[in-house]
Formats: sequence, structure tokens, C-alpha cells
Amino acid sequence: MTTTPDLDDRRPLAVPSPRSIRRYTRAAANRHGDTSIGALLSDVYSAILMAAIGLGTAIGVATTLRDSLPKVPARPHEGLLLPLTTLAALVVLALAGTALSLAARLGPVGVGAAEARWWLSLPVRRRGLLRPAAWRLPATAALVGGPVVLVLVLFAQEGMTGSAAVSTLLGGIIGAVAIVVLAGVAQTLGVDRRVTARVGDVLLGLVPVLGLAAALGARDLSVGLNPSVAVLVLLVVVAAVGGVLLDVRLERIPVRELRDSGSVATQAAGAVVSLDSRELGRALADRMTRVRRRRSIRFGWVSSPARALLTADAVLWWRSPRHVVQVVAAAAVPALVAAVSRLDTPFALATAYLVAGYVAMLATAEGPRRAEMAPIIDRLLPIGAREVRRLRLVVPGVLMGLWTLAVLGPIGWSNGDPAGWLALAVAATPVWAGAAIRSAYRPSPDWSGPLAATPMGALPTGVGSVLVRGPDVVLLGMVPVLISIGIGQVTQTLIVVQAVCALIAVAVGSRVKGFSLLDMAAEDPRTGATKPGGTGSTKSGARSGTTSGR
Amino acid sequence: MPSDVVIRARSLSVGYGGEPVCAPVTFTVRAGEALALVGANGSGKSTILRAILGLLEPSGGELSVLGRPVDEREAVFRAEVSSVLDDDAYFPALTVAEHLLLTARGHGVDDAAGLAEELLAEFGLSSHANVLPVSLSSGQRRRLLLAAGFARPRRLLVLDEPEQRLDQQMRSALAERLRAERAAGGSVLLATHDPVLLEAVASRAVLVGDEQSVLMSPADAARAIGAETLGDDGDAARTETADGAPATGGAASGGTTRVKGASTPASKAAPQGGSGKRRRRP
Repeated sequence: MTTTPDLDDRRPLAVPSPRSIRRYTRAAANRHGDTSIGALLSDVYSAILMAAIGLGTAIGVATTLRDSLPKVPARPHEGLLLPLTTLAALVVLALAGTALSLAARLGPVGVGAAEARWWLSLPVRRRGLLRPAAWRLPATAALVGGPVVLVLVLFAQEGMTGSAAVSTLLGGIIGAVAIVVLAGVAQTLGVDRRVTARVGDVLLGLVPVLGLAAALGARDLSVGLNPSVAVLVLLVVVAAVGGVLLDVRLERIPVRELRDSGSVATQAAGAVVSLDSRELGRALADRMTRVRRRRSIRFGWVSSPARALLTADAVLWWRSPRHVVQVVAAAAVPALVAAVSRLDTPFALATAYLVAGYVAMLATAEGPRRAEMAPIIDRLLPIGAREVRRLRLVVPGVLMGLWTLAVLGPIGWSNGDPAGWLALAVAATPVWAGAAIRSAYRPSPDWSGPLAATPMGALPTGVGSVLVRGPDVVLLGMVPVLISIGIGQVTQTLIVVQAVCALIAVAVGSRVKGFSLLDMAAEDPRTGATKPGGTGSTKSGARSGTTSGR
Repeated sequence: MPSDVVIRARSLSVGYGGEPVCAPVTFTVRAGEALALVGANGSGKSTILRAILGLLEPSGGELSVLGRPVDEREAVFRAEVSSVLDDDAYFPALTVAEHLLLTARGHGVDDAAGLAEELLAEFGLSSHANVLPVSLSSGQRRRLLLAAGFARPRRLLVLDEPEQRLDQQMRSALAERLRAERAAGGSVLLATHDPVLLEAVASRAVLVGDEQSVLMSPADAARAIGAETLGDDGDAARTETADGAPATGGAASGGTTRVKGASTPASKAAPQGGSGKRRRRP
């Protein structure tokens, strides 16, 4: 048996370099892999080509959209005017907050299970082993951040010069890198990832506040969209110093932290690849919850199974600050869009209402989403499946009711008919609740269906039929509200039609057996049975005794 | 002259989110000794092992490994402490042999290929040397993990229920391996539910429980496991301290603990082995 030097004298070990460990692992893997160099180059070529086409298309759409906007305000304002560039600056701030929050939730430095088991137990400098993992996320941020900021500023600014575009692109790239690198430095310093993510959430929450403040004060916040050389140099310095600190301190990240981050990243990547937004939400949220609370709630008001279910959903939402921020911030978006001079069009307002409402709606359905995966409370309580669904409408209904009142109320006020618009808001609320439940209880995507050509490549149609569950109810059920926004007034007929839409949405959302009309697309016409993973899929139904069926 | 104390734990408390999972434990492991942690499922054995390996921050007490505070971020710690937990993770494109070679070469073993070959034969994996771990059975993957634990120099070997998924023949071979480890001056800390392995390998045992964690002889611990009397509160072994009071807060290695009526000085119950210069076992 081989003997090795004694460690008692604390002599440096004759261990290989981290780079050679990585190289050995990669070489061994390549020997067993069946990917040729040609295939690899082909993939790289395709990726670059797709990215270039995507960027070009986005720039074209942004500039065309900007040119199609009215040059003067569509309607006279009373002091509430913001230039388009201020909106762009606020969106950049929101992107920065999102990037920081996301980086903290993903680590940003982490390793997979195999690397943790077989690499991190070696007595080599971990810095060399972790370096590629540490720079993966900043590189991704640079690749995404630069083009996104450029497209955004191109949409907001007319007559942008080439040098301004370059400085914007560089600012986006370096800024994105700096944000992720600083999150990494915080990780090496042992800062709780929840704190870092909370800072990002606060930045996100600041966006509507700043926007409304700018609108009321008629201030232009569009500073830094075309960063000067001095600003760029400052950003480079921040990113470089942060990068060096991160690299030097990689050694100080405990293996449990690295493994935790790697686990989140793996789960999130799997969710993205499988287009499962619920799984992505769980991946990014699960490890952010405080494991210990100062005291437990006594639940004195819980006197029935129904109240227990409602309380569970409400507490789950309240204890997730990100979801609270998401609902509140989304409520300010339509008002913000209405305050931008060139965006104050019915189309822009209706789009803002739908998009912001959908974002808020997703944040209110955390309880149903988790119950779909693990119906723990559902199984404990003696409530039927249909009643469970109906009860689950309550929390999204209450929250989206407040949200809708906050959004449509000011519109009604500015149109001189607050009562009508508030009535419309009340009638529209159940649509959001029904869509939230339908979205939360949707089955897993069916990947076995026929392929359809899309700009993103070929997608199985079964995936699309599942992904539209939720948005379909919103689009169809909100037609009266959209018409009201379009014509700028509310009629009794529209309110009645909206109430009927609400009833249908509630029926669709609380449906647990058989099929609704909207589910027909997923039904197999030959057998009458549902496609695997489609409507009526037993995936979650098998897990849930009380909420089975679709 | 360096101390031969490999692990020193005093009132070591472990848990999650500030909640302890078991009573504090106190024990010392010296060179050439093997200490077994026994207890019911969920009693906290694996959590103690994770704290000793630096994978979990202790919530209280004192802990040192090889004379230093535990810090798995230090390369020298990883060079001296080998561990096999229940982390069934492998590089998907590396063969069984390559996993062992990676470990051996990464630890600076001169004849990594020779050592890997020996371990493959010893753990019954020779015929699977060139296959990917995904094609192995659950027991074979466990053997690979154990082989990797021996494929590198070490002064302390930490094993979490190493008998899991092993057939009887392999359990016997493992017991023999661990006895040899002790004889050569190496130290072993293991959590186990196997009374045979416990008696064959351990020099002392700690019964981990909710209310008390008690140091005892391997024979008594094995009897406790065999009789399935490991209650949740850890009192099924009817253990008490020398003064007749119920043993609480763990038993110091230097103290005296009476188990089932037998009074055994703990220091004597832990036979000293591995005198002289410690040699890292490949």
C-alpha cells in the first residue's frame, strides 16, 4: 500500500494545483463524452447567431415602438408629466435591484453536489477550484445586462449617437458585473444572503416611490443613462476592486454555503429549462425564509378548517416580504405609466394594467402554488377538494381586490367617475383570483406533444397549452376593463358583463373535476383521456388526496 | 511533543436554527481510538458528525480537532480528516476508477494508480472500474464512497453509518479495515446502528439522546442497539452517573460512568492505541 508523507511536521503537501484538478476532471469527462469539437463549435456559432438576431430584433422593435408613440401628450395633464427617459432610468434601477436580489438568492458562488463531494474535500486551494463558478454569474449578468439596458435606453432616447450607445452598453455591462460581484463579496464576508436579497428588494420597492415623487415634483431622474467616461471608470474601479476581493476571499466561503447556493442554482436552472415558473419561484424563495421566529402565532381566531386554510395562506404570503413588495410595487406601475407624457395612451395603460396585475397576482397565490406541489394542509383538514379551491380564492381575491381598487380608483378619479370605476374594480377582482388559482394548480408541461415553430425554437404544443393556464383567464375575463380603459369611461353594461366574466373565472378557477371549455385543447380527441401532464394529469392529483383532478 | 488528542468535544451542542437536536455531548478521541455514536434515528448522531467536520456551526460548547478549532476551509484540516457521509453524489462522466484517482492524486498520493487498484479490489469494484457510477447498484456506490475515504492520507476517519447498504461480507471486511486503521494509529469516529461493527471496531461509545448523552462501553452500546431499547429520551440503557444521579449533559471522558450497574472509568474504557509517532494511513 502506498505511503505518503507524515503531516505532523506540517510540511506543505505535495498536492496538485487546483487547475490540474479541474483539467483532470474535464479531460476524464471529455473522454467519455460523445460531443465532438465540430458539434461544440456549431452550438457556439448557433448561440452567437441567435443572440445577435435577438438583439437586432429587440433594438428594431424598441426604436419602432418609440417612433410610434405620440410626440405630444395624448391628453392634457395637470402637472403629472415625466419624460420617457425617467421611466427608463427607473426600469434600470428596478433591473439593478432584481439583479442584486437574484444574485444573492443564487449565491452567487456555489458548487454542485459532485464538486462539493469530490473537489472540496481535497487539500488544495479552493480559490482555484471555485474561480470558474465565481465568475459564471457575473459573466451572465454582463451578457444580459448590457444589451437589455441598451435596448431600454434606445426605446427612451431619440437621436442617440454611436458613442452614447457604446457608453450605455458599457455602463450596462460593467454595472451588471459590479452588482453581482458585490453580492459575491458579501457572500465571502458571511453576510446573510437574506440581507443582500432584501437590499435588492428595497431597490425594487424604491422604483414606484421615486417615480411618483418625480411625477409630483416634475423632476427628471434620467441621469446616468449615457454614463460619462468618469462614471464608466468609477464603475470599472468598483467592479475590479470587488472582483479582486471576491477572488481573494473565495477561500473563506464555507462548504455548506457553497453547497446551498449550488443546490439553489441547480434547482433554478432545472426550472428554467423545463419552463416551470412555480418551481423557479420555490427555488428562489425556499432558502430565504427565516428558520426561526421570535414567537409563534396562537391562531386564536382559527375555529374551523376553513379558517385554518385561509389563515395558512395569508400567513404564508405575509411572511414572504418579496411577495408583499411585489404586490405593492406592481400597484404603482399603471400610475407611473400614466404619468409618463408619451405613454399616457389607452393601449399603454391597458398593457400596464394587465402586466402589472399579472405580476401582482402571481405574488398572491403562494399558498395554492405550494399546495399543488405538497398539499400538506389540504390533507390535514377535513375539507372537500372543491371547497379547498374556493377557499383558496379568498386570499388572492382580497389582495387583488385592494390592488385593483388602488389601480382603477385613480383612473376613475381622473375620469370624473370614481364610483363607476370602483364598481368595475370590484367586479373585476374575482377574475384575478380565478386566474391565480388556475395558474397555481396547472399541471406540469406536456413535453410529448407535437412541435410548433416559435421564435425561441421548436416548442411542444403541450407546453404552451399548460403555460397559458392563468393568463387565458386574465385576457378573456378582463375584456370589459380593457374596453373601459380604451374608451375612458365605465358603463353599466360593462360592469354587468365584467360581473359575468368574474363568475365564469371563479367557476374555472375552482373547478376540480372534468373539464372546462378552456381545457378542451389539452384533451386527447381519440380517447377522451387527457394527455400526460395535460389537463387532469395525475401528477399533483396523485399527491393530493383532496385536490385531485383538474 | 504534540498531544495525541484528535477530537476534544466539551458540552458540544448541535442543532438547526438555534434548536438543539440532542443533549450536549462530551468526549475525547485519541490517536488509535475509535469512538462510536449510537442512538435512535434522528437522535442527532449525523448532526454531531457534521459539526465535527465543520459542515455545521455548533450551537454551543467547545470543539477542537487535531488541536485546532474546526475550520474545514483550511487545507490542512481537509488533508488530515477523511469523511464518508451519506452524500451520494458523483461526477456524471467520470468512471469509478477516475473518482478514486481524482481523490488520491488530489491528496498527493505518489502511486495513485496502484492505490486505486488495490482499493477497487478490496471493495469488490474491480470489474466496475471503468463504468460510470450511475450504473452501479446502491451498495456498490456506497462501496465507492468508502473506498474514496481510504484512498487518501488521513489521521481521522469520520464515517456516518458506514454499514448502510453493505452486505455482511463487506461489513466484516470494513470492520477489519477499521481495526487496522486503529492499529496503525489512526482515529475513527463513526455513527452506527450495527452492534457487530460497533463491538468489532469501537473502543468507546456515546449514546446520543434528547435529554442526555452518555459515554459507555461498546459492549453495553451494542446490547442497547441489539435489544432495541434506544428510547427517544435516551434513558433506556438505564445509565446513571457514578454518584447515582441520572447522567445529564454528557459524560466527560475523564469522569466515571456507570452503565447498567457496571462502573467503568471512562478513561480506562477507552483503550489507548497508536502510541509513538502517528503515521498517516493511505
